[in-house]
Amino acid sequence: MNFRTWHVVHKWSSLVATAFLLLLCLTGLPLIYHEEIGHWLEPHPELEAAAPGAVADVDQVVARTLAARPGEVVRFVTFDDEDPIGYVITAPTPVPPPEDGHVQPFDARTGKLFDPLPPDEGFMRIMLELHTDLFMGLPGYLFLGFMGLLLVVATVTGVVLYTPFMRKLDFGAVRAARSPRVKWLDIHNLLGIATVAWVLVVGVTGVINTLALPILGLWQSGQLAEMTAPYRDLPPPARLGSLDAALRTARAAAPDMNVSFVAYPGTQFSSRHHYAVFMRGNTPLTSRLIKPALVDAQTGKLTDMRELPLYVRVLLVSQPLHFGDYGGLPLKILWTVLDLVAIAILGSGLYLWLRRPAPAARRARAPTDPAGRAAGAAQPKETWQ
Amino acid sequence: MSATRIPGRRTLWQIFRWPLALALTSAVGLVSALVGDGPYDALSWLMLALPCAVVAAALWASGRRGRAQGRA
Repeated sequence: MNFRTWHVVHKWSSLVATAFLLLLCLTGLPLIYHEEIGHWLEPHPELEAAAPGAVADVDQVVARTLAARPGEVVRFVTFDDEDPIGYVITAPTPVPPPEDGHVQPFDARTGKLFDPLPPDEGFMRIMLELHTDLFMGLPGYLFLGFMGLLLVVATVTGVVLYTPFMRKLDFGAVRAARSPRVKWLDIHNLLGIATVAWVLVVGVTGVINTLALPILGLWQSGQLAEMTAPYRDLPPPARLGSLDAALRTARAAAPDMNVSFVAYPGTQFSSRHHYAVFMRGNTPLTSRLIKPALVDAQTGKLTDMRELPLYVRVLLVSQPLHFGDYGGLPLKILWTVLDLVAIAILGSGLYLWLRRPAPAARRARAPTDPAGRAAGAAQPKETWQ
Repeated sequence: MSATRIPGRRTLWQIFRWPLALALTSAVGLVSALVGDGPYDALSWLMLALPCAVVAAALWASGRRGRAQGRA
């Protein structure tokens, strides 16, 4: 491909996606701090002192939660990875709709129930919807995933185009004394090339995240169906056995791991016969690479425990790499700075397109070279600046 | 390559050595915080601060040159 072709691909992949990429960059800014904003809007429950090694009777916690929520069933019981706090998530049905459940926090040591969390709505919810699916569900996810692919195309073509522009310039040169267009071209190139690794990683992992629903479906019909095959034709259990027994079984099966969350029988993450106890490790990476232990919900015995398949693990690792939430507050601040740089790249790119030389002027200045040789490297100065 | 090089024209290596270095350090930064906490986090902050610092330094230097030329 010659320079002109790369330029056309760069221009159109960017132009088509710019509005949506700007939306993603802007809505992404507050989402970087969703955890901090959540704690600020809804302060963490006060934890009282508890006897060392105390473990809550989770069966009782669940029973008390359900007593206060007539007509609802438990979907998940989750455990915080820092504080000894658990959450019982209930809803009218085991699977969505409705998408959101009622969240009842409890002290994972004493079993004390805290005030229920208010429904997840308001500003941050709107930011999240705009950032992930534009309020449209799967089609919205896939559409924004396609915009992410265009971002990857624009980034790669941008790196190729960087070459001819820099033939006579040193790295980092910004010709501030020249016309505003030349200055902003240099800034666009500098910002783009300096942050290309981060932009590609956040772009590609963002695209992978848009595939979460299809990936979940693949896992349900693949590994999950395989692990629970012996139960396929059995009637669902009339009464569920002890969750505490299931937790003990899972902990015994993976003694060096902690419980991340339990998916109740009949939910999207389990069969109708199992508590799916998802275990996590202790490093930032292994805490994301959860491992399901399927425990028979009546007998409390382990049915199967496996590593998740590669396509699920790729999704799970893509999440922190997209969110930037795996290295403390300083990493979030760097994520913010790099996001602002990305906004500047989009903005300057748009400016360069709006201020492009008129076609007549471009024809007059372009060298007549029917073979198109010169357009490859040496001539971008006259043609495009 | 070097025989046909036009004077003042930079080679691919000259053009991409700094961007390549920044991409590699960024990659180290992106991965290190995933692998561990503490020193791994600190390494990650340092490596990902590099591209931001390089951009800031280049913009600052060009602003200074621009003002110097304005005065001349």
